[in-house]
Amino acid sequence: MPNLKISPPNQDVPSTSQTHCHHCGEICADASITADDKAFCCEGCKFVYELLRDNNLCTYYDISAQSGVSFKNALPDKRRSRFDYLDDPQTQQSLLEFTNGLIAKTTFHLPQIHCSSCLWLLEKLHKLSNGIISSRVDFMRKEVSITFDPEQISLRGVVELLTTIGYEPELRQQNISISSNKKQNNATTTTATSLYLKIGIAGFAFGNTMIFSFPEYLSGVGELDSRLRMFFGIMSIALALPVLLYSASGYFQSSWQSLKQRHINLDVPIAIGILALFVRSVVEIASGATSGYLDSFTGLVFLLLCGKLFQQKTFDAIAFDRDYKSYFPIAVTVRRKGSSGADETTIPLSALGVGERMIIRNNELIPADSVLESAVGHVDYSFVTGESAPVEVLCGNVLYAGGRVMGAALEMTSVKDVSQSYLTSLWNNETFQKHPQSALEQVSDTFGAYFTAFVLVLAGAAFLAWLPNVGTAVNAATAVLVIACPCAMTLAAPFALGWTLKIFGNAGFYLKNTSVVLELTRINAVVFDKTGTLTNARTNRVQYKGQGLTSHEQEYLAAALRHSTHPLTRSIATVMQYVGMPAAQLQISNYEEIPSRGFQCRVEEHYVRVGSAEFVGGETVENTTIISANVHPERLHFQSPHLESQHLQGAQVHIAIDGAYKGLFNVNAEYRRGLAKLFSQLRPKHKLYLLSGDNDAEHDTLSDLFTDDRAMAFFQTPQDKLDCVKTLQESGLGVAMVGDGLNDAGALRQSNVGIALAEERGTFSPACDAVMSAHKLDRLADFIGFAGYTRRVIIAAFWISVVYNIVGLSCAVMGLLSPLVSAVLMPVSNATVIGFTTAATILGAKLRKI
Amino acid sequence: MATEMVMILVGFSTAFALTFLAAFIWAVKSGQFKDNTTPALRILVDDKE
Repeated sequence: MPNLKISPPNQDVPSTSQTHCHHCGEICADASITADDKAFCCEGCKFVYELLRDNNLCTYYDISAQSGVSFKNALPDKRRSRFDYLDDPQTQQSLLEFTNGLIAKTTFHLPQIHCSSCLWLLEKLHKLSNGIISSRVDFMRKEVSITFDPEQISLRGVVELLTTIGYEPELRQQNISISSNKKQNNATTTTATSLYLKIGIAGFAFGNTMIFSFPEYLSGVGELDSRLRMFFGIMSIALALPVLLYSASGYFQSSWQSLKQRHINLDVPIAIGILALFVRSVVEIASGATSGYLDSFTGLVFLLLCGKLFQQKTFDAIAFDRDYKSYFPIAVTVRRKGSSGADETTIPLSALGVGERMIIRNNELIPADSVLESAVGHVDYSFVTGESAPVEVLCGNVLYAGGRVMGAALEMTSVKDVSQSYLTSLWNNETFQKHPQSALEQVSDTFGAYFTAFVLVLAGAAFLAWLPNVGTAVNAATAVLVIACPCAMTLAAPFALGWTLKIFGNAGFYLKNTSVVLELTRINAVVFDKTGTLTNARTNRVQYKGQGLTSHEQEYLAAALRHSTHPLTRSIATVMQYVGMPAAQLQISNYEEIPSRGFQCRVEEHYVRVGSAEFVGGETVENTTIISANVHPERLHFQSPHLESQHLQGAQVHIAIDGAYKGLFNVNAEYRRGLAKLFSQLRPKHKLYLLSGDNDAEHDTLSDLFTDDRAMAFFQTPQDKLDCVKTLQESGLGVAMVGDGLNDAGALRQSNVGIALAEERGTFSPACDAVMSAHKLDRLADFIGFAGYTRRVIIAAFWISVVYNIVGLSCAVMGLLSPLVSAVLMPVSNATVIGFTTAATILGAKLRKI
Repeated sequence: MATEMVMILVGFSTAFALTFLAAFIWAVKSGQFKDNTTPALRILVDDKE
């Protein structure tokens, strides 16, 4: 039933929809754009091809075919003036990393980077312009660093060049506040670099001290030449010193910090242990008793650091800390009274004040609350409210920051500052200021405190028990400090959580850090947003109900619909193209749009009217579904039968041709697949809520999922959502919020685990704890379940380490600790813990098919 | 005699091993561990010039 076409594909007309653009691979709607016998979908693609051909850069297409960036989704704005703000010295300064007048360096984020062809072309920029000295791509971060000669090409020239070849840099507010941003970036790079260095030095010392210790282990105590033993001991100390002073320095700093705050964290017992190991080794080597425990010492530090590195796995391409600044443009076009009347100029957004007259074009965001000056327009508020359908606004209406202008450009006067607007003031909420302690910190700090107390008490007891014999007493007490290893937390947790992070990442669920895994195990309420979360914001379900259309009528209709700029009719035009309806070029005349009613036009000799029922003259339709298909920008889905409600709802577009009513198109948001199953999986252990900014038109459909009416709330403002999550938390629930837009930003931040859905990797998502590929939403219950499994693995590893600690500590208390015992016991216990957690986590993921 | 021989040889071998450590430190400092995806892709691209 879903794929009923209006008529069989017309055999006479060559199926143009099968021709793919040589540049970007999109379907060519129109076969007339060609160059060198190659077809292109639009003039933009053809232009890039010719530019590359003229510069001998056609290798671009050989590396991977049809690799170009499509211009379909790019702003249709071709005005040169839109980059005017890049000539502003202040803006330039904030975008340039370095300049001395002869060379300048800058880095751009290019979300379009997707294949090795992109990499190749972007590193050949110097062939397209003499002013560019070199360019370097960081593929994972989707960044290009460009060195250029400012005498020959301006910053604006570089941006324009990138834009011409389809890679328009993402220039956002956030890039402007870059000075702080870059410092932060540099800081993380430095810690990563220094961690590698620390591990390298610890590993080097570990390997060599182990070799120096072997002669004694093999020959037995006292058998080795005393001079040789002293020599090996001194060499070991020489190697171990950098490990103590550099590699292990982080543990000392961290435990010192926590002790100063009268608090014990997990680094305290580690610092005590490694300090005891080192001091006792030096004493024993100096007294000539043994060759010390320095192999155990360096090995321990090496493994601890490896655990740290493992836990630090990050997803470069994903940013978890974006706020509204990442969405907003860095410049805005304003009309100011200049010498020659009212001039259009582009100013940086930071310079935008109240009372400025702004011009916002199709697809641009409104940067500040303002009052509309144009007569009428359409604004898509899905960012702010979650409401999916565009809103019609009239002159004098207040427009909220974050709305996206659809169709014709609008003029408006700002009434509030950018940061004080309705949406952006959400970020002034205290939720965005506080940084609560993470679950992992809580657990490991508690563990660290108990462990430290336990070790100190045991060492004291051992000392007292041996007391008349001071030598043995000191020996036993220090042995306890040396051998006690909190490896359940220091090794088991990093490896188990690190593996889980990697496994989730491969499955399309990217966590901010390992602590989120533990947070997930504490969740017992899940809150969903509707638009873009439960529904797919980019896919519409389009159904045609009415009389059959002849293939000529389809042609007229397709041509007319494509001419309109209204998002609804564009959706329908797309679906018609994808189900193989003809797309001939027809003459359109007398086009007339009547606000909030529809439009009419003449196609060839026929008269087409599209719009609301009263405008078109609708009548009752026989309920036959003629076409029904879901549009997706890349491919066509056919609708799944579940969740389809019986009666018509959503937006309707009626059509009439030559005065005769033909039928209506019903455009609905499409629900994601697998929701019913997901909800039945979640329901036993979690309370489920819906917070929608949209209207309650879908209430009946949703009550299948949310069995309780009280669990659903509609017409929620971003602030309402935040408060709602807070109320749930105050009633003792651990809340996971699943959302997608800026309107969920507050709730995502307030919740224990904020999960942002992203349609594809690298798309914008608000600040959150986890980013999830939107098509993986149906696996959410499995992900939460696996987080619980990981927690059980860590607990099991804890008991393994308890067994080793009992063996080791009994040796220590009895005064039997020797370098050999330590050299065997510590690596074996560490290896078992690491091996067990790794194997258990990976096997568990395989069994659960994650 | 054998003891002195061992000491000298151990000294030499450690000094030699230190050069590898130095090479590793240089590699980290020169940023070779910062981005390990792009160079792998870069090498796959043929230049017909």
